[in-house]
Amino acid sequence: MARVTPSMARGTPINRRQLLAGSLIGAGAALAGCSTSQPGTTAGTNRAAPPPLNGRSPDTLVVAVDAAVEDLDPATNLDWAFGLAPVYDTLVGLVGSSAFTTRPQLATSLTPASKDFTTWLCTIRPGVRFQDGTICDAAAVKAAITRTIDLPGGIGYVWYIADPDRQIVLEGTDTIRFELGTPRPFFNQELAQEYGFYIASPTACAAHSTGKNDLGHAWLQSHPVGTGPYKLRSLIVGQQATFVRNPDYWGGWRGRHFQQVVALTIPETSTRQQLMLNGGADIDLLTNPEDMVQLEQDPRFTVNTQHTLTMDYIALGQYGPLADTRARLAMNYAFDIAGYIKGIERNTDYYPHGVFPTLLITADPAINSVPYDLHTAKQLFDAAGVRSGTSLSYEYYTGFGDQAGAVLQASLAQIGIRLQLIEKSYSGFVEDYFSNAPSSQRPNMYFFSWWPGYDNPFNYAQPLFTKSGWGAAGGNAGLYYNPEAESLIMSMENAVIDDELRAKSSRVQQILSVTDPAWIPVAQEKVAIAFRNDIRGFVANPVYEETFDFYALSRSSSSQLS
Amino acid sequence: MAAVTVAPGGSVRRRVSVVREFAGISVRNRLAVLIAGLSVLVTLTDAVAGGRFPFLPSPLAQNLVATLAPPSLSHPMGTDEYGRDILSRVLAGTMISVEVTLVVVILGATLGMLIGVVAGFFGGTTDEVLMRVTDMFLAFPFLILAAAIATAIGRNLTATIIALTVVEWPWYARLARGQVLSLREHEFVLAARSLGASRRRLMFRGILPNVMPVLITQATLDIGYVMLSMAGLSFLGIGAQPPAPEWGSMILDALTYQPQAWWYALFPGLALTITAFGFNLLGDGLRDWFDPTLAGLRGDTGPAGP
Amino acid sequence: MLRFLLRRLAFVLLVLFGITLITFVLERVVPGDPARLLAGTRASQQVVNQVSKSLGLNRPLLVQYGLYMSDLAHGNLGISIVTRNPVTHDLVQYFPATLELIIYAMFFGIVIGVLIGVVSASRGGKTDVVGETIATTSLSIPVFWLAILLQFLFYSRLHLLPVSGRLNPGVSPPHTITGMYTIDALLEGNIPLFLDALAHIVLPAVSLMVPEVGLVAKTVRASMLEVLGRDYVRAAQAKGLTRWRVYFRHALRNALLPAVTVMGLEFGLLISGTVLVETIYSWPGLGSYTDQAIASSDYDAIMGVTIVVAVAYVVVNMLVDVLYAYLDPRVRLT
Repeated sequence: MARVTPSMARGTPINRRQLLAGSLIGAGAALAGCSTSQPGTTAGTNRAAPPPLNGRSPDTLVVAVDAAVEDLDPATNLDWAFGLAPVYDTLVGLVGSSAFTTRPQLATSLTPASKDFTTWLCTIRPGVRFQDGTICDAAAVKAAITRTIDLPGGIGYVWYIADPDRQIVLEGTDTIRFELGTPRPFFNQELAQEYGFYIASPTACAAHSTGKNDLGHAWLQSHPVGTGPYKLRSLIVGQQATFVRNPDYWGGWRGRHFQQVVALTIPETSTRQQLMLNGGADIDLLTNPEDMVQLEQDPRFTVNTQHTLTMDYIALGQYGPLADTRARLAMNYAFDIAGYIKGIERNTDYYPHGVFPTLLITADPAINSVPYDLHTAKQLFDAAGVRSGTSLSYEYYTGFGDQAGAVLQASLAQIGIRLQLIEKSYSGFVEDYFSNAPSSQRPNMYFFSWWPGYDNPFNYAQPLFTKSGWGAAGGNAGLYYNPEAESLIMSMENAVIDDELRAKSSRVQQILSVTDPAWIPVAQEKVAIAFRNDIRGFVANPVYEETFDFYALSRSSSSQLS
Repeated sequence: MAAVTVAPGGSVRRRVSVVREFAGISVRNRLAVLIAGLSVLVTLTDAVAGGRFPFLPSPLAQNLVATLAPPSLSHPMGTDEYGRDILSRVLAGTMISVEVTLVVVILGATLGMLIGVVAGFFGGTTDEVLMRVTDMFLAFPFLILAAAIATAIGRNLTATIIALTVVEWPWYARLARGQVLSLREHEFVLAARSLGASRRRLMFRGILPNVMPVLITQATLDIGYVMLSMAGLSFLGIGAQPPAPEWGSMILDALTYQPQAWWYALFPGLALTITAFGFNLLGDGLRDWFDPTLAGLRGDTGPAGP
Repeated sequence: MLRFLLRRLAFVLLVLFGITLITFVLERVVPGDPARLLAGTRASQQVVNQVSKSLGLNRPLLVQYGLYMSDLAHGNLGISIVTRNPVTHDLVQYFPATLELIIYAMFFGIVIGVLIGVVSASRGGKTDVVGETIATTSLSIPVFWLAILLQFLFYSRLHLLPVSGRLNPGVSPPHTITGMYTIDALLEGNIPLFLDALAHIVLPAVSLMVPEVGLVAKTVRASMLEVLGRDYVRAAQAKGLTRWRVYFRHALRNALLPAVTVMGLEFGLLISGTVLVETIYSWPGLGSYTDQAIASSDYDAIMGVTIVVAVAYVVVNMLVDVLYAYLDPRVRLT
């Protein structure tokens, strides 16, 4: 269940009007893509009382998850921020289900201080303390950000601040001035992300540091210290993580909140399902389609499905046997997307419409990849000189892409192409995907997933499909390059969202999906979470995938069930 | 590893079994029946594996429209998550299981026999050294040692074969050595030596033929055990790699779809049980058949050794 | 007796030394990239290089072996990539759960196996056929398949027993005295907790003990048959002793001796079984720890478990030898 944050786009300044327009549209798009049912917020018809708690404390929230809660160091966790969200705060956060509108968190305000968006001013909330008792002021925040950026092998690069000491300027005890050097009109949205932007206690990190290659990382992984509403009470990796209330939380504890949150790591779907059905768990991150269907039909539960901006795809290498456009088009004809989504994924993901996610603001839902047709695939392969008996390599990481690979392998075998499936560990795969190795050392295709930093066609397409995104510089592992697409994409940078942009975006989408395919798009990810009917307060956010704001959740007493 | 090595009592015959009927046929014919049966089995499963068997789809043929379909007339054992026919896969899997198991048992028994015979025959330091080495390997519970070896070498069928052979041979070494030790004192050996027979001659003409029956019996009894061990390793993810239709890995894949797709785990496991049962019966029968010649020449089971 | 014990001890020490040699070969010599295997699949190249240096992989094998042995002597079995704890810490943590399972499986396995074996041998005829079939079937069923079947039957279909874990979720375990929940709950006098723990241990223990039942039954039956045909038994019968007395005083005791030798084997079967069965029941013991380690190529953990279990196995076998020698004086003469 791993994600990688793509690099952000830099560009020319945009004016306030464009910014506002973007934010409204962004919010609109995000809301439009949200699910229809939200537990507790709608008075549902046909909703029954959830299963009895069987003596379990109603003040404890039990979440059943399939992956291990681990690596609670925000400077390195790129996989899953689930365990970070309760313990830490970011400077700003996203509001409700918006991918764009931000609200204050640790920072009471974050505003551009220059017209070209190269300088930003940030006011830190006064009186906040970390869970180890130390003060969280501007100096502490600067130290925390610096540590994140400085930690070797960490994900601090997402700040794009090369010299934190010089670029993060303290102006008084509670104010920070960010000298970014380049225009960053979306700095607000950037700082609301979960991967790399949580603020950890610098005192705690320094106290447990074993050297400049560690900076407290080894200790912080299982002893997180943040400013958030919950503290980690115990962690048994691979089994259970228990969070308890932080009594000194700056947000206070008025209203209904959970006293304790327990996350149970249960890889077996049948066990998780049973836990939900007999009242042992309140929330379940669904991964099994049969379980999802069962809970959707059970009136004691509500299933919240979320359309996301995340695309699953097979990146086709534009080298070796697949250098020819016809070969890559043949690959698209050779993969049965509909069959895969229906038969294998059992509709737990959405059908892709070309290489752009449908929620992307300028995406054209009328554009689709070519249909499944092995006969045409064979003809195209022959025309491209890819003869029967050719061997192609397909790389993926454990548990992600193995089934798509198996399906593709079987299809290609029918037309005489041998697909070799190469399984790597997650870190090994990521090393390969983002490497600068020459094409002779690259596999012919990669299975991966990607989502844009924010809802913008340039931000999405530049790292994935342009030369500037090759290798370690972006996400273009297939070394794709098409001259027309390239010039169109680069011209979209910081452009206003108008009809001209939409036309360009459609043309780019057409090229990338059909004319000169860069990928085989496999699916648009859907996230499904099951709730007991007495859990209130959940709002799905497409950027905050599969993590929760536990502070916002509460359990209604049985008399309040509507 | 030995499932059971103790020979039954001499005068008390209480078995009433099909194998006795089989024992009534002459040795030659029995062998013929066995070979014929095996050949048919091999040809059949090979045809199924290659997709050449009529009525049955290829075990590799996917059908994304009919994934995880329950048993029906068109798919008597249902389909897996790729829509592949489970009946075909179970039948094709017979090939893999039987092949690998036989290779492991034959390799292990041969290797063990050689080492055991040499140890028992030459005695002295050779014996001590070889037996200590054997004991060292015997000290590891098979699965964990096999898993360690396979992880070190790589996850594929070859690694599994090597791993299982390494785990198997010590038992045969022990057994063979025990046999040789008791044979050494036997009159015919002493007589042959006094007549000036060379050591080599003695080993090949005298000892080996008497050691073989015990080992063959043991090997047959072991087949079931090795088959289950191999499936166990596949269940752990070591061994046959997808899309190979190996029974253990099929049960592993089925785990994700339990309990809804109950047929997926049921049939491969059933196939495993029935096949292992069959070989166990065969081994029991062989052991009973060999019984008269073996009275008094029992194999070693105790850890103390003879 | 003393001489015998000393000889056995010397032998055991030698075998232990041999074990470390084998595990060393498996850890350093055989793998293509031992540093990568030990650092784990999640580690970066930097970490792998560090591990490589600390292992002294460019130094002569003898030096490496020395480093390896000194690590073992200090109880340093490395760090698990999955849990990020020292492997020794993990082993201590997960051991009691597995021990509990093995004790139940072994006890009931032996009892039921002996029962089947004795009845089979003494009754003969049809009963024998049934008994033998049961024994053979027990030895033919794959434990991991049986575990899935039992779970499906008793949980999914009949709703009689829980699906997984050692206790119902949310229930606190008893105070740790032995680490075995059923025993600790009893010691606390907490009957509902004891019943809960018992309900959870039934299915995994039954799955585990099945091959053992077959093994014990066959061994006991075989030696019973042999003993029943012996002269001293006939003599006892001639003396007019009742059948019952004959069986249980004379025959059984002698027949059980080979069953003792098989106990070492059983232990090996059970250990291997736990690796296959624990994951299915989410039983947090050494078995699921090993399974997870194998799945993530957590090599330190795999090797740690291998060494510890091998040592335990050797010790158990030695105890069995001593027991056997105590019971059968003839053995001591060798």
